[in-house]
Amino acid sequence: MAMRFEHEFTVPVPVERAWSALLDVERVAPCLPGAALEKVEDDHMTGRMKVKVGPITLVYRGKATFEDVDAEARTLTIRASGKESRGPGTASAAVVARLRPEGPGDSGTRVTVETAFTVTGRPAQFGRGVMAEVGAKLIDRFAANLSALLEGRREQAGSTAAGASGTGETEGAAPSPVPQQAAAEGAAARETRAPEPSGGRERPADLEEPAETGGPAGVRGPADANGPTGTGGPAGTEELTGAGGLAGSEGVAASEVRGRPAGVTLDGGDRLSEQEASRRHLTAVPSTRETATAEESLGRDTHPAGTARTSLTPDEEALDLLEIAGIPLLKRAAPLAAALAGVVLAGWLVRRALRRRRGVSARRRTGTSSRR
Amino acid sequence: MTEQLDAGLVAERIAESDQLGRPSDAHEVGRARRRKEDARLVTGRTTWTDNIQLPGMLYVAFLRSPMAHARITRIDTSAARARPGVVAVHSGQDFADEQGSLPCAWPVTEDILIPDHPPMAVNEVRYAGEAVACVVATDRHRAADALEAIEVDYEPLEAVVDMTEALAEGAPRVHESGNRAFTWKFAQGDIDAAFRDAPVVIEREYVQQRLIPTAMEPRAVVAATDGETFTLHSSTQIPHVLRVMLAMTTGIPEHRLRVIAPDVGGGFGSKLQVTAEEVLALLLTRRLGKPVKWTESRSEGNLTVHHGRDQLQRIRIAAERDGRVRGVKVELLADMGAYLMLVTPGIPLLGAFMYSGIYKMDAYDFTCTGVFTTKMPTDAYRGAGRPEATFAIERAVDELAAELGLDPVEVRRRNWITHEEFPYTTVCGLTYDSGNYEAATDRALALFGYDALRAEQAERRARRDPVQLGVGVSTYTEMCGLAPSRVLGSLSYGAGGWEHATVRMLPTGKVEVVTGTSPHGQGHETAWSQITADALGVPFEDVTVLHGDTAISHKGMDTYGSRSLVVGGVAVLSACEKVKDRARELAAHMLEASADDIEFSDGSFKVRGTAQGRTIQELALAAFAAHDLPDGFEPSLDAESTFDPDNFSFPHGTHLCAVEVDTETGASRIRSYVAVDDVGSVVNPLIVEGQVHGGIAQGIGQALFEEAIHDSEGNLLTTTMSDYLIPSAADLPEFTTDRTETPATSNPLGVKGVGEAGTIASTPAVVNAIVDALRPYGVHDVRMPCTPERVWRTIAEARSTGPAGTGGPPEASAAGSAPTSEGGLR
Amino acid sequence: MISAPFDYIRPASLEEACRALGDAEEAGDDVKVLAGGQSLLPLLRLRLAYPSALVDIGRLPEPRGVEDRGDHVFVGALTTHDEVMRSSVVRELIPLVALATATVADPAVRHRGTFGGSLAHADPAGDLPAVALALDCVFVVRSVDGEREIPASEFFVDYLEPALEPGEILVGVRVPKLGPGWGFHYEKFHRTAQSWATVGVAAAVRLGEGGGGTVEEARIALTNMGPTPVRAHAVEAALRGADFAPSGSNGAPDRIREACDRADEGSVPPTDLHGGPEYRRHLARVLTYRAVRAAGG
Repeated sequence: MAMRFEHEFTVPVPVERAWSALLDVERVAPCLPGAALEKVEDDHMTGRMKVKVGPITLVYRGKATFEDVDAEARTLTIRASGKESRGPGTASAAVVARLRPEGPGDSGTRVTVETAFTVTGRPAQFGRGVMAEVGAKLIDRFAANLSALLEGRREQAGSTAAGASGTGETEGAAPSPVPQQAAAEGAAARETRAPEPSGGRERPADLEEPAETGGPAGVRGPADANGPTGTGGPAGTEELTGAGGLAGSEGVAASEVRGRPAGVTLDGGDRLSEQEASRRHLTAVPSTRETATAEESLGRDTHPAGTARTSLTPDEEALDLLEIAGIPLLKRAAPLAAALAGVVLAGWLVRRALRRRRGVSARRRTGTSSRR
Repeated sequence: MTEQLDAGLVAERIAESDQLGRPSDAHEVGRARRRKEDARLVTGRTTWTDNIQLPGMLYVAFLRSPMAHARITRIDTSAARARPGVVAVHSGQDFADEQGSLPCAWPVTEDILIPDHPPMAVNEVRYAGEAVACVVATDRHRAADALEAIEVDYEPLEAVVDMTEALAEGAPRVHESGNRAFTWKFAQGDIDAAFRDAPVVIEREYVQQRLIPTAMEPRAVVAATDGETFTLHSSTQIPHVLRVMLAMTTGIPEHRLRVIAPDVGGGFGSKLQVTAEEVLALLLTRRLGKPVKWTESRSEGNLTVHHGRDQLQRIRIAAERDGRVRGVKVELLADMGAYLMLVTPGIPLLGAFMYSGIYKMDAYDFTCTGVFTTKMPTDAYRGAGRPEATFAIERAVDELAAELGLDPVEVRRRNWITHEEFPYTTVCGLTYDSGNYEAATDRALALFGYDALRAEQAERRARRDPVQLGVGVSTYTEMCGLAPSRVLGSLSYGAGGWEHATVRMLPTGKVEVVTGTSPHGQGHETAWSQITADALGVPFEDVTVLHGDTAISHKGMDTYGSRSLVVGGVAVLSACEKVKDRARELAAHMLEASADDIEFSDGSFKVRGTAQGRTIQELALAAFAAHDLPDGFEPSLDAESTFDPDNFSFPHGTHLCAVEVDTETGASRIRSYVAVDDVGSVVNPLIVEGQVHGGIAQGIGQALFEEAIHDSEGNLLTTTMSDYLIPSAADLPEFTTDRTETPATSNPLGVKGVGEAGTIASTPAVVNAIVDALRPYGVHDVRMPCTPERVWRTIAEARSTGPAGTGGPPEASAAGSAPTSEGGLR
Repeated sequence: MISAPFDYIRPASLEEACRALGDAEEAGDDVKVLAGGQSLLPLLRLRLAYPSALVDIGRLPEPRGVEDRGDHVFVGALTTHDEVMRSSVVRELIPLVALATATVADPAVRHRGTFGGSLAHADPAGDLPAVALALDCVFVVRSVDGEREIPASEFFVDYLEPALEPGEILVGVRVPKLGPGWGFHYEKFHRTAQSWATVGVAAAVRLGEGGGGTVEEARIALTNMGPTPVRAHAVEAALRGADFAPSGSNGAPDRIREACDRADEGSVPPTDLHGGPEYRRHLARVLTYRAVRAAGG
């Protein structure tokens, strides 16, 4: 089962800065929900990812690498592959990111992220459209996080992980009151948004077993980034809204994340209608987290999961990282790649994990605050 | 002659069976006997293969490729070996020297590519689900758990999913030798002349989607050995064929291999196979010296039971203005899947001779190309080639009628072989021995209320009812009774088409019938008992039918292709005649009369004109005692017979279907369905009724519900029954069934076979009805299965592109936005 | 297929079940509650779910049964679908529940599957979540800390994600009686009798007094039009005051139709083998109209 997604967004920072941010693993890694690294060795990364959707659990082990890193053209490709740890299924991904200057005096950067991932085995064979819906949400979330990062809003979002583990300086993580107009989802999200003082570090592993999260600093990032409590605003809201949440996590105006499925067909003509495509064009202009919440609930409505349709294009060949392991890598980018591997590979939701975190934090507070 | 037989009535009419036109001395044949096997089957006293428990039995689980196409670069089984309860773990490499290649018995052309088909993949996998390793453990749970611990690395290769793309220049190759397995041609008459200046030419393309046979009982295998001989229990339709093929494949000498098909819960062709699991189970028991069992799960079965249909058909009809057909030209692409299995390449050939249907024409041209793809191989599925042919010709004849503005029944009348023209040799060279298309059609039209439905259709069209009514016609015939061995030989099939039977008279006068057919739901025990009871004049209850074990029934060609009664039933009759001949000789001796003066009736041999006689039971005992036998008379009445038919049989019938199509939702509801079948003489009308009902349901399944769907990487998406939809009784209308009877002249029973008739007939009837309902919208076809979404899109596309036809669509009735794209995953 | 191994816990009481569940989750076990097993067992057998333990409440005597409690009917979570659809209390007082339950899968599933299990599974393709949403049911859940209530509007968090917290078990559902004047319908569109709803519409409609045929109030929720059941607020609002006269009479615009054309607003229809989003949106509009007409007619 193959899926392709394209995301496009503009960040108000020069391309050089965005490029270096893109290569900065420590910060990029947290953009990726759900993954945790096990090992980084020069040009090899091994990661795991546990994804839960209700009772459905999938654990993947994967490897990832950078390819075609072209500093001049500002493009890079991440190729990843992995296998189910408890089944024969596989997943593989190719993510192509392109940056180009945009805006007056090239003060901004246009970013395109093309993601293609392929899944085999039981998860792919399980119908009911689960895969498609989940895949889109994951990729949306990744793109939105990346957008926030590249434009600087997420400078410390990555260290939200760190924040959770002690630094606590994430802008987005500051709790804010939820406005009246926030929808029910917003209210639900409120609980989750509070930074978790200690849990973030020790329990990135709602997504992963704790013991396996040791490793480079970046390693904690990705896992934490997924936890709603650990991530501060963005992730906490993501749970409800997918991409919408992040974009609004800190008030940078005029950032837009556009997702559109590329070649989302299985049977030939299955294209998103223009209408639906444009609905996916999210413009998030919130300046506070409260509005972000409102946006999110909106975003939820206007963000059709239909984008998650799969594609049958034959060119999306699954890639095996073993094949390209010999290619020199940007070592620093390794964790990103690995995290991507985990995420993209898996291609599933982290929602369950997110929820459970929330559950945990809620329970922790049970003593002092009544439940809804 | 004609008698309406709905299921409820049939049961009540057991006593009235003489009305069915049987000779007065035939008390059993023709009776709607309830099946003697059913009491046991429905009360759970069964021996399904999975019920078999042998001492020390081990359980096998297979690790299956998640990839449709990949090179296996590494398999590490060590961790799995360390799991609790695990006895052995093997990859394909371990079997490489002994597993051989799964057989293809039908090399249809000289230059056909028959790729090596290892039961367990060694270097490369070519469909998702192909076995790459197996675990043998002390129980099935441990076996399944240990699969998790096997490490396999794959190097993905490009999947080949689409037949047209597979044949394109530069396409990735399923096998080194290429993706074109064969091209088979057949032509009769001057096809160019038929099309030259033809006043009307209809050209259509139809998609026979891939189907999953979905027998009720999953496949299961139990293999055991005592060190010298091997016993294989398998949920198979073909114990005899399997034994021969396994002997050839595994090197186990045939005389040391016993194959048993115990109770088998359906097959529909899917168990007409020599499977990887059967071979591997034998190899495992040989290695381990212990019995092994494997039973598939439903989702495993959806992946790895051979699939059916999957053809792209282009059919062209040249016709006169009055609707008379001049010639038919057919081009097929047939998806073989990744390998050629037992009769994979022959399936389209079984249809090749049926594209002329019941119609007369001057020329016919057929080309079929078999194509390799990285999907589960296809093979026989109920009807096997003939449903495809019937669908194409019956759909196309409807299109011809629409083109000419004629009633579809009328066009058929103008073309079909009339009853006085039988025997008739068709353009394809088959000689149809008997039939009466007029009678069956007239009866069906009357039962259906054809004219009233047409009137209602017109009325709904006129008022632009969002629920439109369509009427579908299907006048089918099929070639059954596979098959005359000489014909099979001429088509390069690897074996003959005869069938064997043995009739044993036991000392107490009871009878054992040993048949080479292998029933798996058809009711042979009942029908063969009826034939035997009549032939020997013994009570129905006194007959036992033995089958399905090569140690008991040593010879046979098994059950498929509506052959069992037509070939195997005739063999039983023939063996009974031989028993009677011997009994007559003995009776003459005992009665001191000439054999020529001995008459046989009601189970007694009497001297003509006297009351003096001996019953067959008395004669059986006398033969057993052997105290007083004619000189040279062996002390036995037993006899056997091997019957090889001279011709196929040709059941036919007319099926009519009325479908209501909800143009707002695209949903199709079958409102009424009439089937009038002519299956020749009938041994048991209740069984015939059951076969027709089940067959219609299965054909409707193809028309409306079923499709095996792969994505572009070759993942099968329909592995569960939430996504591979089969109809249940709740989704089907009451069928009105009836029969006409023109006995076959090619066999002494006059029977034609009924196993596939319903499936062959019903699919085009349903689709014709849907298209008929939607013709005013400019719709000419709806691809199968006609899902609601597909119907809805077809209407919308026709609205946006085609000229509004007569009647016109009810434009504003639906809260309808025109769809802009195909929706679901497929 | 054969599920992966798991611990099996069969508590003797609901309290014990809560404790077992709480303990297991505390210990970091991935534990699932098993009731009728009609959703969970297939996932286990397909090896898409690997819980470390199951807490089987399926044989507990409580909470089971249907009880008229004045302004609402309480349906115990362990009540089977078959019991629900045959309950005279349900049929008379909360008929929408009976109508929808009768469409759940097939008789075999309905005899084993439970009302609570179906809701707690939070499958948007299930028939009952939309009904609960339309009727503003209240979910009663229990843990070792006691009971709490969750309104239906907050219960369905995401695909297969109910608002149950670790250690919580759904005990039952308060289904409000809507009082006189309401009509109900559950319009389920599915490809075979046993298959999931491609789209379903739960509708409750109250017409004005005196045969006026004007919609006073409507409650509409959709099955399988998003990761959770979807309340069709836009339709509900647009229906208010709409004339219920038969479609097309006196050439006036069919305001019911217009209102129902908004059925897909706010939905996020899924894609699967039985329909794409566009088709589902269309179906939602068509079926909502039918459901509303049937409920009000």
